[in-house]
Amino acid sequence: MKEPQTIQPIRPCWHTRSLLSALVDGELTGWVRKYVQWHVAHCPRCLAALDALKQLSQRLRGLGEPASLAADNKIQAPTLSADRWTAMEAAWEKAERTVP
Amino acid sequence: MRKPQNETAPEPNNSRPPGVARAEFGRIARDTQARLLRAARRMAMGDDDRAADLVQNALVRGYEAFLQGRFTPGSNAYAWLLRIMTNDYINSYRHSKKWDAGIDVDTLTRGGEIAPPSAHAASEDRPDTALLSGIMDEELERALASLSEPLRMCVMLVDVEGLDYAEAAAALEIPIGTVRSRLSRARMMLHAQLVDYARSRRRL
Repeated sequence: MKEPQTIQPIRPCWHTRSLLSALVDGELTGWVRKYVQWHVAHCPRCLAALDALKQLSQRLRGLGEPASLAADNKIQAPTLSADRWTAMEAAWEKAERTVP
Repeated sequence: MRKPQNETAPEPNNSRPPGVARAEFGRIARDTQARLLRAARRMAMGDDDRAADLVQNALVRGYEAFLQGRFTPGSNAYAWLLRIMTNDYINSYRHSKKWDAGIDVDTLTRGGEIAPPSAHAASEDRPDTALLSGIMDEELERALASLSEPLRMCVMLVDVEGLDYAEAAAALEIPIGTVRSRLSRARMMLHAQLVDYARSRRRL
């Protein structure tokens, strides 16, 4: 029976290790970006690391999506309590008198 | 910012009567409170009272800035308030614990190793990684919580909240290069943690 697949450690090359993450975010430019893209195209380990980092980034982004918290409207979105709104309104009123 | 929202005031806000300004800011506050609370809860590691304090403070300081015309109409109000809240959080964290914005990233990590120089890997070395779908959100949150504070904040702002590197750098008051290196290290560590979770689950 085939062993079920599972998540494997990622082991990028030392010289792209700190660059792959920025490539995922589109934050590399110029020749650095071209070099990393070229390297990834020729290096299975770095390609795997890039795939893994992309997936990780997508999953983390999912934690910030409104749908992940209030799925199917079964869970109400969090709100500040009425007491806090009252305190905040008072602070806003004070700010209107004091802020130049 | 990856998630533009219609949470912005349509015209300059520093010349309005207070009643109008408050009505506009009130709308912004109501529109953004849920997202701010979720971000604050994550910052406060699940402490709801602390999270509500953070949001309340951000909305009070945000209104003061709004009255001074420091909110740019047409920009993303959520990102702006998140920056205010992050500054407040970091300042309070600095008072209670060590926060060194300039510290080298290697000293911020718990565990993790630098891969030695190596030649390109053979194709059989490429691991099968399309398997993060088996990881639960709770495990992801747990792994995120295990990071040191400066690394966790970078991941939170960029990955979870969708700020770009420049916005995160401004919120955290660190250089963009530091955001880049912290994110890289944090993601490597998160992934290693998720591998551990997956392996321990298989052993059960």
